[in-house]
Amino acid sequence: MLKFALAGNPNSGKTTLFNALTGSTAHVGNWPGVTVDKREGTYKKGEQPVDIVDLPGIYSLSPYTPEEVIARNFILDERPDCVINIVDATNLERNLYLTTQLMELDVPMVVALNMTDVLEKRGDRIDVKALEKRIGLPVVEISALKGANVDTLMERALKALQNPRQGVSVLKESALGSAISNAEIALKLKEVGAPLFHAVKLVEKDSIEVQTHPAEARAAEAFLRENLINDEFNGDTEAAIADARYKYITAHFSTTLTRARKPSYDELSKSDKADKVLTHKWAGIPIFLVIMFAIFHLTFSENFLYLGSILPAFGEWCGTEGGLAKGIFFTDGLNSPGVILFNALDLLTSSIGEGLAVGLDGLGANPILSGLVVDGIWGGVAAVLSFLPQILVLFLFFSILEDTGYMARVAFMLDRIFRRFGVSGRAFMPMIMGFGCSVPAMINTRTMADERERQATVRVIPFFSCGAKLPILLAISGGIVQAFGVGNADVITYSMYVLGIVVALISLLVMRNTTQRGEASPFIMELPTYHMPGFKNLMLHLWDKAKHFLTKAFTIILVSCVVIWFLSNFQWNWQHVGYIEIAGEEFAHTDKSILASIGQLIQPIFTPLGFGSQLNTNGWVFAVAAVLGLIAKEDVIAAFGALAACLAPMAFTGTSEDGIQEVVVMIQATGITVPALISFIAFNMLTIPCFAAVAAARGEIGKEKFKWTLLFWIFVSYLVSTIVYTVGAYTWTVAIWIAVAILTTVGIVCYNKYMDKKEGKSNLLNAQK
Amino acid sequence: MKPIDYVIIALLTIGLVGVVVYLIRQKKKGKSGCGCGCSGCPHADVCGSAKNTQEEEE
Repeated sequence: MLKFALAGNPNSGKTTLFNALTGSTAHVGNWPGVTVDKREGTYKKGEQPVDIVDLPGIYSLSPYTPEEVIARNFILDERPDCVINIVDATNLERNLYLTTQLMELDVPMVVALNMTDVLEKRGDRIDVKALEKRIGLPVVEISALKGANVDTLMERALKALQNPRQGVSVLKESALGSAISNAEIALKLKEVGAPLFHAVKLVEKDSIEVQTHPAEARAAEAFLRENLINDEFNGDTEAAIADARYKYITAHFSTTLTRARKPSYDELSKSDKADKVLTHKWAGIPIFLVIMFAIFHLTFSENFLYLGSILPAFGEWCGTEGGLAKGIFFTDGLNSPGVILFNALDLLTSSIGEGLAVGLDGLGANPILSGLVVDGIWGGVAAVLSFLPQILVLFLFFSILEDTGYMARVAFMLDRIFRRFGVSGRAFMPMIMGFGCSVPAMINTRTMADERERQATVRVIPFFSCGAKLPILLAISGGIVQAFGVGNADVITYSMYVLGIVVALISLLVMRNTTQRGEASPFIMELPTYHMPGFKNLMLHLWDKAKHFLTKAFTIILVSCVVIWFLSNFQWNWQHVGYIEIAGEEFAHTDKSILASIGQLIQPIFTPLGFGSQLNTNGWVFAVAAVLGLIAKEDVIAAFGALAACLAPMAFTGTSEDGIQEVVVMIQATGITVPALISFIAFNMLTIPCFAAVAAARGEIGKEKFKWTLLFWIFVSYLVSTIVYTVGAYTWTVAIWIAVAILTTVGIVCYNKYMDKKEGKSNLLNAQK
Repeated sequence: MKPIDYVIIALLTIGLVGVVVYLIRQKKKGKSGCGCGCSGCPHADVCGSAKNTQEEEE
């Protein structure tokens, strides 16, 4: 099959074009580094199928970043049949810099001029025919976002295959032209493929090239020493070549661009004006925190815009005559959109649960089997499922922030803060991905140059609460509000997210000053202009999230529910636990179950965290749920769902299947306190992540250091949860924790000074040698 | 045991076996049980291929 490679600058629209060509739904990000490795798909609309390879975004073919090495190696070693170079028409000069390098390869090539529609909106125009003539390559105007002209692009690419192409360089007329020609001849004699490209790189003193062709590199250097007169770059041939390329682009290619009016450097674009406020030195971060709170409020609040006191009449009407509106639109006040959807789904899942119970009862099913289906399976699955609307609403807002270009700005703003903690703003990108899922986030760290910085980042990624942890956060915070009447669900959820970020930053600070010492690597990134998010892209993100949440609910969670139900309904001698009668109803005697005995065994471990031995006889459920969370985080709430029916007589007996009601049952049945519940959330958020994330971390960090990572997660989660519980339950313990923090800080400072001295000495010795 | 009990047991067994088979197949394809789902992940191809390469090397 034919193989075409998509190459271009970051944010030029490669992945969007890849999706348009292959019909894929690959994640399109609005910051560089979203595509870390190459990705393949098939274009099937033409006469013959074509394999399309989406390469990571690069600015050059020099080996500065892992992305550049991946793209360069692919084009040189795998020899695609054609390279489609995507050029962002709104940044023509800078994008063509890469084009001038790709042109030096002996491979058929087509230039896809993307975003010309945006250019036209500004009133600017590119003379495509003139550009095509001057570059000497087919140039096709496309709009990857709208899918316009992509088939024409493929036709031109297929046509380009018919004529084998020799590389050409825009540097031949420059001062380094003869040196390049000499090196090219030498490489041709050695029958090296793409000799012109390698020759330019040799003259550039490219590290990979010098290593591969040392003799030719020495010859090129000697030639330059003898022949290069008027060397304004003091022997820095790389800078000289970059300068020559830009000069050529400005003189020959940029003239094809006609601007409606001359760009004024004093005049600010709309994006610049927005950035003056949104990325302001002092106001930027508070604005970000306010935006995040607004998102959490829109998703989780039961008192939307705090209108509860203004709209009591509406609440009264909902409570008495509202019909379906009762309990859906009004709780403490007007519900937020996320809560309205949550309540609507809860109504549906509860009705299904009731229908199942009545149906099985009517058919005369065995009560044990009926319990398994209704309480065990449906109770557990529905408890998790009930949070799907809120998860989707939250991720819709996150996707909007990402697609508009705001998240890239946040990385830029946080660079200043992160640097103080020993990591660059580059680390923020995988961390943001961690809010969705830790697995791709950990893999995304591959683009980080410093290995120690990367390892430290991988370790803290699980602290950024992922989608799977959201049901725990929502159910427990909702449970706290309902059972104790304190706080707001949105404030508690938001605070827990912030707690995760704070713990991540402190952990980074400690690691970068002890086990992972080192300076933060430089961070340069291009900020995309603000734009309206693409509807299709947003819907694709949501569809993907919903599809996988549902798949997981009806696979892993379902199997877990069956196992939990079995363990909580049977004894070690394989006998059913039997029933106890309370208020005329029969309930399974869970206290005699296998799960209860295991739970009671591990329960003391969690005593310092507030959900151990201090709870009453049913307290083991929290210990069991915490351990089950290691399989999949949703299992925590699924366990509550499956066990709620058994513990209901000791608490509130409701018919709702939603996770919040199940937590209320657990609270009333175990006597757990608010600090212990907050500690429970903290433990689940910070401890060892799910199996998949653990496997990803092992792959990224390596076997040897992974065991320390596991210990790190256990230690941090245990410590933070203990602090949360003790401070919440016994305020005076704040003094103890402050003293511990001061002693730790002093210890780290002393260790750092000692290490600096030691490293200074060894550097001196090395220098003397 | 009534006939409905046998029907419930049969349906549950089929369902559970189906789920377990599905999970094993996904695992073999290199797709883990994480909440994010592979196709939505920007490194969807990397996970599977990296694993396969490792296996080949071994």
